[in-house]
Amino acid sequence: MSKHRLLASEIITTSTANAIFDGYLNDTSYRGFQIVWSGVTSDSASSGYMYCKLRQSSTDVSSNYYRHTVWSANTGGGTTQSLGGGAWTLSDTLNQTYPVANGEMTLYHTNTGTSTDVVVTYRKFTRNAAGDLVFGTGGLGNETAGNYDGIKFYLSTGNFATANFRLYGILN
Amino acid sequence: MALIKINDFSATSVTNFDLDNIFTTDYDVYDIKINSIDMVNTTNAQIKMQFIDTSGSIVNTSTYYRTSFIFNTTNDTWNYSSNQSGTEFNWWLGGAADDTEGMQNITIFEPQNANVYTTGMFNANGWHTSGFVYVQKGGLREDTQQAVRGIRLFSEMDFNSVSATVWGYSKS
Repeated sequence: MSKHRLLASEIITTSTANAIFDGYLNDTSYRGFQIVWSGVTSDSASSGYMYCKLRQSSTDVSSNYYRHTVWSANTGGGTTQSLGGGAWTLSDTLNQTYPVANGEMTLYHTNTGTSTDVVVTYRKFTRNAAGDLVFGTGGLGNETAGNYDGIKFYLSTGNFATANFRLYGILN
Repeated sequence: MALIKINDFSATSVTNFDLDNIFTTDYDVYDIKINSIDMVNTTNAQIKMQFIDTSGSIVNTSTYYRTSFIFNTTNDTWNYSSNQSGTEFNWWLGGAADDTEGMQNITIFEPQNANVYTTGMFNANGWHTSGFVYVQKGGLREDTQQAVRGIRLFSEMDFNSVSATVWGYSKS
């Protein structure tokens, strides 16, 4: 018996600014939530990254407390480690020349009020704007606990040209 | 339901371990879990992987790319490892007896979409005969836009026994 349940999908086939899942991450039937993305491409000639932010009551949670630690393996430059930021970064550079980004993240403690920070494990794989392959894995966190119920994915430059996002709940 | 078991596979005394007819248009994303591997001897080896195209032929071209990093318990450092224009994907399997060769988890994105490059991510761990444990993680890309229906796993030596389970992330 699978403990996964498909809760929602955002399937993008024309230029779209955001993929938003509101009103799911506060469902206490689930102990965590997995989001899988595939075929993510940009419609922009300029390079950008795929970011995401938590949401609360259909509003972005904008803070400088989106932490990430990631090890990346890049065919163009070996391994790197990075930290910190105002949003979680979920791809390497994308533009309309070099698709594509794929990956998955699992979120815990999204809706615990003030008691526990949000923690996330994730993996991402991109063929970036330079044509290099970049794999990264690590952990994400948000140091401000809250009653988050949604999440938004977007590009720092341009819109999504195509993308499949699927949100799954992991049953208690 | 969301994470759907597609099939279990097992074999004994084989050179190639084929997981054929596992990719369909019912799913975009797949998890392949190699549950156990026992090779014919204890020499350190690699696991190798090729795709099976929609006609049942092995994709045997120099179009397999891997980027990855390896952590081992001898030096506490992530080391970069890549393979470009290979005739197969490859990564460390390790070497040991009695089903203790490394465990492997592979995620494959959009293998049935003939308009994109099939990509994947893998997590592997194992035991090296020099006396250390290693973890290898990375991304995979087959540089041909074609649909594929399965994978072939093989190594420098035959399998004594091997088993795997394939899961699909449901789209509805």
